[in-house]
Amino acid sequence: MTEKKRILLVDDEATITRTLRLYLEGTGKYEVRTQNHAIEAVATARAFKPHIILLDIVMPDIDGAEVAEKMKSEPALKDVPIVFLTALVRPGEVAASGSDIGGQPFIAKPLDPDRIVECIEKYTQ
Amino acid sequence: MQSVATTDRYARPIPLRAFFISATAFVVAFIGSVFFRETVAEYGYLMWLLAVIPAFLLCHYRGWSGITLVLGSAMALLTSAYVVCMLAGWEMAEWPVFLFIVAIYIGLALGWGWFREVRQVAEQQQETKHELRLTHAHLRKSHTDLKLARWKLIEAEKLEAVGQLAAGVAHEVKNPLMTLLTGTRYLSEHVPIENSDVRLLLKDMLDAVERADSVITGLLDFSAPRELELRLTDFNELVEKSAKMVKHELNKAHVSLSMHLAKDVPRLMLDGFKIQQVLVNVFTNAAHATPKGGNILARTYRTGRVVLGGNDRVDGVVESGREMVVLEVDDTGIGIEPEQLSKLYDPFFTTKPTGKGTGLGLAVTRQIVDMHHAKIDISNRDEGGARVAIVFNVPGGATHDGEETHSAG
Repeated sequence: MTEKKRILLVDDEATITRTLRLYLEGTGKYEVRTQNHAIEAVATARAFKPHIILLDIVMPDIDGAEVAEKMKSEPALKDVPIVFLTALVRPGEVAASGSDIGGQPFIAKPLDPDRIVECIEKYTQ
Repeated sequence: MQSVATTDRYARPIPLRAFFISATAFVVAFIGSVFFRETVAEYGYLMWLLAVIPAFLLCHYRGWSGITLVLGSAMALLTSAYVVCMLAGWEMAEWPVFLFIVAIYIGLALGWGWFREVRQVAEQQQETKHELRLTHAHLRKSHTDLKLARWKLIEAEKLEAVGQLAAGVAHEVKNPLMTLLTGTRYLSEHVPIENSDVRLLLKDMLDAVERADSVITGLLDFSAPRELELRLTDFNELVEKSAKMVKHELNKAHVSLSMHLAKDVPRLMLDGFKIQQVLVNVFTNAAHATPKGGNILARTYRTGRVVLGGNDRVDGVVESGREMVVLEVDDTGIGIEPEQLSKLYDPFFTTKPTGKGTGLGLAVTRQIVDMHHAKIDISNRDEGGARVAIVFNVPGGATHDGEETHSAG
């Protein structure tokens, strides 16, 4: 049996992480860990060793971009792909999912979970 | 306006005044002549000269150049005659003769002055009328420009408000939509559901999420960057590409699309992505408006003059002084109620059934067309159905070939 890919979901909206976790685990291909407190995201990632991190941008304690920066500065996490989840309205951000922000790919909410699976597969090859 | 400008200056009987002034001078001189008959016999010329001088000065002061000229000549003549008589030692003429001479001069002065004044007044009236006509035309244009500017300002404010609203609302709405979408998909795919009502309910929920998302996406288009990425673009190719994108909609509605794309349509400076959005929207609307089995006709051509349908938002006739490319999309639906024509571009206005349209498509379309300095006009055709016309200006140095007819759908 092949090892399930580990996905870390970081979003302050518990409803999003909960439903997305259910969906992704329902595919049988992934092991999902969720974190609703951005400030603890790096520690969770360090412990969980994910294959990919889905990271919300707008969060109350610390924003996603800062979390990503911290993760990239950790030797154990610097190679883990990060995909931003965003409902932000900024020029260019809404154009199309799959574009990138500062070199990182992003998913514009709401996105069909099938497309999220495609995205995960693409970045965890 | 009326005749305010002319009343004060020209309605006064200037020649009449001159006449009274001169006549007074004449009467004074005449009375003087009677009472000082002997003196007059000797100094007659001087007496009449004295009578003419005040009139001359007054006319000169008032700027009545015609009268001034004649009176001046009279003064010169009288002075000369006096000097000649003095030097020659000739007998002074009798005062009635001088009286007669002066009377003639005054009459001539009045006549000439009157003629000059009347002619001047007539000329000035003509000039004033012309100026008034120009001012009126200018005012009308200013009024139209002002109305247009005001309308644009209101539109801009409305769009800005919608944009700000979109920016604020989008984030708050998209997160719950994400939850709903993922949750509903999870239930649909991973939970065995025997009950057909529940399956239908889940499908309705997915549709609802999609609809809500399309409203938010429409709103986001308002707050999208206003900058265009302009490139010389093959417009016909863009029309064909957009038609392919709506093929599914057309098939679903059982509507065909014919295209007559003139081959001499030059390349245009366009933001291809945004204009494609416009074209897809126009074709989709046409597909929704056309009954089953109907046909949509899309036509492109280049022209120097185009007559639009008379919607009050654009002039009926467009003559830009340069070449234009026109896209016309005709549907065979029932057309649009006349009172709805002016509301078509208002955000959230829709003629489609509830749930079928967000009412943002044409608002965004209009915005994109305006950004390209193009014009859009929607009108009812005499033959029935509606026509959407979009008019682009051709950039300088564009190339063109022959003509060709395409058909698709």
